Amino acid sequence: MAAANMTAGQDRRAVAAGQITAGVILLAALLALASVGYHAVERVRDTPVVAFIGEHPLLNAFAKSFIVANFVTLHVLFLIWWERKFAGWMQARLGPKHVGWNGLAQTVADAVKLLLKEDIIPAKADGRLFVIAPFLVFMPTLLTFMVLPFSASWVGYNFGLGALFALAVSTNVSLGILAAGWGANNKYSLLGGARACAQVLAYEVPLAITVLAVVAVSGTVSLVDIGAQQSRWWNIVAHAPVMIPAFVLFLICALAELNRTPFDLPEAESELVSGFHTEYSGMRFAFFYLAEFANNFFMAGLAVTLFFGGWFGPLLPGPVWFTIKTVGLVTAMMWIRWTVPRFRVDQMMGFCWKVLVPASLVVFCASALWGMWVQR
Amino acid sequence: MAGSEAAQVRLEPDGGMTVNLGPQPPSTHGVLRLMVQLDGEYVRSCEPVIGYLHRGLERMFEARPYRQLVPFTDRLDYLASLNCNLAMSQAIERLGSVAVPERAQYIRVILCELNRLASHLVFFGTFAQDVGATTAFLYAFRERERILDLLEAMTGARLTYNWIRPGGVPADLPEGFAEGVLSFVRDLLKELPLYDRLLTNNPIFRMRTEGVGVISRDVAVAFGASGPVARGSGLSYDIRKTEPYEVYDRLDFDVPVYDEGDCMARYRVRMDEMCQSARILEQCFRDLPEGDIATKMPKVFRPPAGDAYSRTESPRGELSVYMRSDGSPNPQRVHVRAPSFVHLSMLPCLLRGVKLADVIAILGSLDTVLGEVDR
Amino acid sequence: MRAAGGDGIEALAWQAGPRQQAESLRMRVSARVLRDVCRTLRDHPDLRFDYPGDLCGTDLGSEIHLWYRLWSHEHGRSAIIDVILPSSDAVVPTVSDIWPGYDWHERECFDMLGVRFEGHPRDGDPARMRILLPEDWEGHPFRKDYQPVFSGDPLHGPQETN
Repeated sequence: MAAANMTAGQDRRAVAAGQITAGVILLAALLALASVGYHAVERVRDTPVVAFIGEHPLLNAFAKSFIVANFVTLHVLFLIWWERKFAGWMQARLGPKHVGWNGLAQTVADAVKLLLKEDIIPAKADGRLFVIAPFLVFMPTLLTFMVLPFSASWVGYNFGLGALFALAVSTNVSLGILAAGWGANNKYSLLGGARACAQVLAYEVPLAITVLAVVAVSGTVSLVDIGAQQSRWWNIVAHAPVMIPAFVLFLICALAELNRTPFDLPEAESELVSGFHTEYSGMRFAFFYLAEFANNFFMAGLAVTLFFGGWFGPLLPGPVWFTIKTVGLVTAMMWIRWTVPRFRVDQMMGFCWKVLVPASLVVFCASALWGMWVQR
Repeated sequence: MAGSEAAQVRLEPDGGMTVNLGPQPPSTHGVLRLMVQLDGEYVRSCEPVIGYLHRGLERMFEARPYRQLVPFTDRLDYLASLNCNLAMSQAIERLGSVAVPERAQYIRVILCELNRLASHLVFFGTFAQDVGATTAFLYAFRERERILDLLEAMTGARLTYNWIRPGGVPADLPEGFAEGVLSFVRDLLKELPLYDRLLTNNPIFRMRTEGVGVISRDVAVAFGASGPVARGSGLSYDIRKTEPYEVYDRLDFDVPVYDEGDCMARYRVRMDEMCQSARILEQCFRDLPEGDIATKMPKVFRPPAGDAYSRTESPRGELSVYMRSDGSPNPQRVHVRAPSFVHLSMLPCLLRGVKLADVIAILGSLDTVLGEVDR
Repeated sequence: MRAAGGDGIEALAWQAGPRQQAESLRMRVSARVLRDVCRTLRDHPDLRFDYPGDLCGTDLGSEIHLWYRLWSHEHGRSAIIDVILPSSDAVVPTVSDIWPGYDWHERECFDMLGVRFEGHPRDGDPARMRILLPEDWEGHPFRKDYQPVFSGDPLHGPQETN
């Protein structure tokens, strides 16, 4: 009997491992498809219609926004499935399994369910804030994707101050979270919103300093240029002595910015139910979820651009490589998320101001000196 | 639609805020309501409100003959119902001076220790969840599942076993039970170091538990803390040692004691107790004698007038049953002293000045079960 | 011991515990001297009953029987105090300041049996003294003469109960 139990446990792990393998195969297939698609798109780019759209400023902006918005919305469907599958594998369980092949359509089903749900606004909520908050959270996320370079040419807007723009815009998420926390008129939400605001603003400081450290080494603020410099060696390899600590700091701050474990205090399930989105349901809740995962992808993408050679890699086209690296980094963040417990609010703030800020300043100074030495 | 002038979250004049934790959120481990007065993230005072699960069990006991009491005890501490069965059965046996065959006593110890393991595994999982680590929960429940399978093979139930009855146990061990338990114990002892690596040695986990919710030895004594809560405060108090029942005096096991009195100490006590339970199980199967498994009880059991008291060490602490008979087939009064009840009464004193997140950690480290608090 | 209680102690004896258990000191005490006796039990170096074990009240009809059990960590033995009160006027001094652990036990005893604990921090405020039952509950259900009053369909739960 016990033997049967044990094999059942092993079977379960074997099945989960099998599913992960299936996921990897799926990913490979996707990548092949993506490469084909990439070349197709590159060819379409040269057609007169597309060229006309490209030259027309209004149509150009509209087309790019359309593409970015769709990408942001759709890639999350895959990321959520991947997170569930990955968490299931880590936790010796199966994860989604029934809707679609290996549960691949589970997220779609969930999205449909959320769309069809009643939109509930609590009677005592501040209606306007409550309604607008999910969009306040989602909009900065959408904007950041405009400057994220999937390759030298695959970038929404090649902005000279890309890195600073991304940081500046992504901080605004805290505004939406605070609006959600206050607008819902719920004590849990209020506490969650306050925590989120304090946390995002505090961790923004070391995050920005670490990005500046990369800027100091690269000598440019444009994300496209930073990426382009790494065609031979990734930053984290070429400037290892300063870039490895910078990356570690960046990763910690990114986790905090994203409100992910161990920094998921704003939505700390055990004490605050769901934190700032306790009162949300239906599509508004889906927007928070969407923003969370899209933000995750963006932060990982930023790290890839800054440290891991951006879109450069052998064989596969640039955007595909960029996506692979980014999803890999997102997976690493999931790994952390499902392993560690949660900080307490005072420990979280203390860790930022007493450890991360001084450390990031040291790394920044070292990077500046390193940059001068390298350029000389 | 309400405008911005609509009633906002009400703050008290001095800037405080009263938050009702519960009775619904998952982290209060059942239907417990904590009225917490907050000053920002700090707790000013806390008032536990209990009784949401009150079913009047003690009064129901009075309306039933002695042999029908045990099934109700499953609903006391539902995570360790066999331990509750034992406390009740012992009280009835002491009231009527019923002797229990030795084999039955060993089987009872085996069942109780298995249930203690299952309960501590639930503690491990839920406590990890309380401080924000999700994965440990599923590992713990994977192991617990094997205990439940074993107990199901024995008793036919997975939660409310009703298997320790006045006079003994209703049936002998099923075939293959010993091998199943022993192989499980071996695997568990291999798993426990992994749990340490996953959680106990995690720096964030240590930050969240060390020095948090400190119960000094004096406070623990004055409030009547027992079980892992007392032992985490440096009090070597285990009913299995101080007033041994069943065959615990013949078994060789240690009582883990930690002096710190914080959440970590209570956590460590429980983790160490799992090893000790494993030791007890191995010894029980080694020494298990042949013989009867129950003393025949009369259909209508009329113990002489008087009172009896049975104290047992449940996974949560001292679970004891006071029973009073007036010579009729029904007890005159049955009172259950629930360890969780006592531990919850420490909360107002424990939670003053801690942070909101610590409330959940401290509550989790007390490992209360509301079934026995509210009865 | 006798000195502390004077004539308030009606019976006092050491009892052998069942089977392997330690002996216990069992005494019957009148409510008048309960606090003095308890303080002696806690503080006397030969007694040191520092652990509040349990409190159980029983309705015996015309009188209520309170049963306190204590444990001494130092000497490893227990003490049992019996207190008999008249049902009509069930008042007993609190011991929750001697052992804080008795706070909730006394509240439960009040809730179920209507015993008043004089000097308890919540004494005189029945709504706050209630612990397991709702604040506005009427009566004390563990009294043998308690009759639950159903003001509606009894199948539809406690909100219909009074």
